[in-house]
Amino acid sequence: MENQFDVIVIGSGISGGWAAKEFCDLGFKTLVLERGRFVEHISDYPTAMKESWEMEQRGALTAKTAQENPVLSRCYAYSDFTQHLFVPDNAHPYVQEKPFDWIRGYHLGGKGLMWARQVQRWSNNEFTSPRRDGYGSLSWPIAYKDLAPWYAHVEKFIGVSGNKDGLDEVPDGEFLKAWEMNAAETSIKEKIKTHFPERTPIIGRCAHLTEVKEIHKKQGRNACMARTRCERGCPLGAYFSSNSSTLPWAEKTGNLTIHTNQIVAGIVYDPKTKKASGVETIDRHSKKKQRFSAKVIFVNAATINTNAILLNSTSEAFPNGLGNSNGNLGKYLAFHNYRGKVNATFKGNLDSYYYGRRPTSIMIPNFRNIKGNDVNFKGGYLVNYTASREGWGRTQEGGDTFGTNYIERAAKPGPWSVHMYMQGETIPVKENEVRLSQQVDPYGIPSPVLNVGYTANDEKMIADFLEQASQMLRKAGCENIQQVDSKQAPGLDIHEMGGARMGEDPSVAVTNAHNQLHDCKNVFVTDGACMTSTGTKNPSLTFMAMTARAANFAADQMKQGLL
Amino acid sequence: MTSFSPLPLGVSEKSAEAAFLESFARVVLGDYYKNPQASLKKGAFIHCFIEQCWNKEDHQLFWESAAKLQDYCQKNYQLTFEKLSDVEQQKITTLLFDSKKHLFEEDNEWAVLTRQLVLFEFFSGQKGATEVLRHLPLPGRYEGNIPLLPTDTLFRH
Repeated sequence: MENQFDVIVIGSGISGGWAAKEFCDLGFKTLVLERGRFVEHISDYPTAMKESWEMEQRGALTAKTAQENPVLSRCYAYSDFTQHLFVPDNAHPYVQEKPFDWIRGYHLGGKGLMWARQVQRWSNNEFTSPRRDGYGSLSWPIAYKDLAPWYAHVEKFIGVSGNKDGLDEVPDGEFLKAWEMNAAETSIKEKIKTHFPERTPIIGRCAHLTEVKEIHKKQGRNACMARTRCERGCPLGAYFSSNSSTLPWAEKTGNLTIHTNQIVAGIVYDPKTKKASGVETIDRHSKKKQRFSAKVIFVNAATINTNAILLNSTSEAFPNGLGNSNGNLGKYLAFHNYRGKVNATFKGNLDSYYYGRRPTSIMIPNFRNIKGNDVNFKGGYLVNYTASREGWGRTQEGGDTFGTNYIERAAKPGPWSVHMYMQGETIPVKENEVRLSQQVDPYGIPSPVLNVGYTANDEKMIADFLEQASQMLRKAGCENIQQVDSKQAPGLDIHEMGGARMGEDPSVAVTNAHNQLHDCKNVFVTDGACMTSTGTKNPSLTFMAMTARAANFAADQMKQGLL
Repeated sequence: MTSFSPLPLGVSEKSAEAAFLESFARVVLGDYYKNPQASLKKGAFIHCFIEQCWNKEDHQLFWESAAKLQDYCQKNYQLTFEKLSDVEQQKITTLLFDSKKHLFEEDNEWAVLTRQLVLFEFFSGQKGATEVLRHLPLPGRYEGNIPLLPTDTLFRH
């Protein structure tokens, strides 16, 4: 039958692409449903090779675009070069009970085309600390050892650059050649290590091919050319995306079907089998409804939409949404706290410069609450920093204020500027939630209502970061240290997680240790929605590892006739 | 008082605003100002950028300050800025950037902003980006520590 598959994957982003790849490799007929348009790798990256002078406003947004998109225009990656990949604010309205900057990519590949590409494994401490320190109202049902082989599986395929640093808080993986620190970053690192022995700056780990192994050649991908124009789409396939990697790989198996422009209205539950029987979609253009059937359904629509789809999947058995018998679906949303930033200048290494553009920064793994709750807040934070020479727009001290000499000085590298920022764990609380509105979108689907805010714990963490970062920079010899609390709304981190959290106890958790809904075992959630807590790391690698693990579990279950 | 009227999108290169900004760009860029067609391309771009990329309140404030400068020129030289001699334009521009001599405003914020617009047009344009800065469309690699010689310019980012 045309609409009958072994597996349906809702969403084609980073985790959806991984589900498709794993199932297709294992011989299962797999349908990927994407609500947005098709994006062909390479040919649909129209600005990838454009220079600023080839753009009407040199890449800047017009005031009209910014006014029409107040949420999007706060996103660092949104510009005239990339706006075709982002969902305009008015295209899919949502209700903000508290400010929430929801950044979305509705097209094949999802946000995985514009993502920041930083990938670190979680430490075992990040899985155990919610239980140990008593926060988040739920304990992880898995530990680092459960994910470790899947991290390796994913890393080998996507390509991750990094050093084997031997640090418990950021476990080593299957790495390609690491990027280098520049001279100022190295000087700062050495001084931080001297003055704070428990804090170790390391080069970031990112999903860029610094070497092209056989597995990457088979994907048709090439080495990173250090352009850092990544969020426009990479014609080299040098950074990992579904478009360049997992989806074409899955397609080669002959087991993959992709339907774009299909908005999922809900998952259909069969009370006789006590399983989901399929998915109902609405065509984005014709609004025609369709039903697709499968033995297994993976929901990878990205955290907010995954929750919204499940909440909208109502039936007599589940009047409040599929998987929501305990009432916790959509609740305990969390995110990463990026509010704290510290800027400074550094006067050393003035005879040194760098060549090319590096797609990662320096990372100081979390050093708070490692062995127990020893500060006045729960959870931890990762610190990132970069040092770069100031450019032509800097303030020049002394000399001509205009004319030939002024331009000549502006064109030379300025002093080192140092930027340090936090990536803080936030504590899942019940009040932070997504639920469905009475308002419906043009497809008749209820709009999400977002009620997500910072907590007192976040404020304490920000204060601690600002103080610790300032101390580190001071000890490193930096000057003009300036603390900033950006006060940015949740969502701008683009790391929203939770709502369908994993846990052993079905009275509290929505999904189990294998990412199955407790209420409906053939529906799996393996994107950010399943995250029991946020940890401090960029989450995408964990979503991918979790997806690969769950897909292989589901495949085994299907082979045994259990699903 | 001199007034600048904001033009609709697709600003004419012959507009008074473009002519004024072209003159200011020529002074700021010095020997780096090269415009063989003698058109007002830099001024027209900056004018268009202000009109398209700034909020209405901001371009109104910008042109109000520009008008004050033109009033100063009219009062002291009976000419607009763009009609002044090179020496006179440079003299006025020196005063504009002198933080101790407030030509027509409490600080030199407008002058600094206008200079930034000129630098943005220049360094994001092909000539500035590729002939003055070192343009690396495809660096091919990243090296974290290379010597910086006194004559080296910025790599374009």
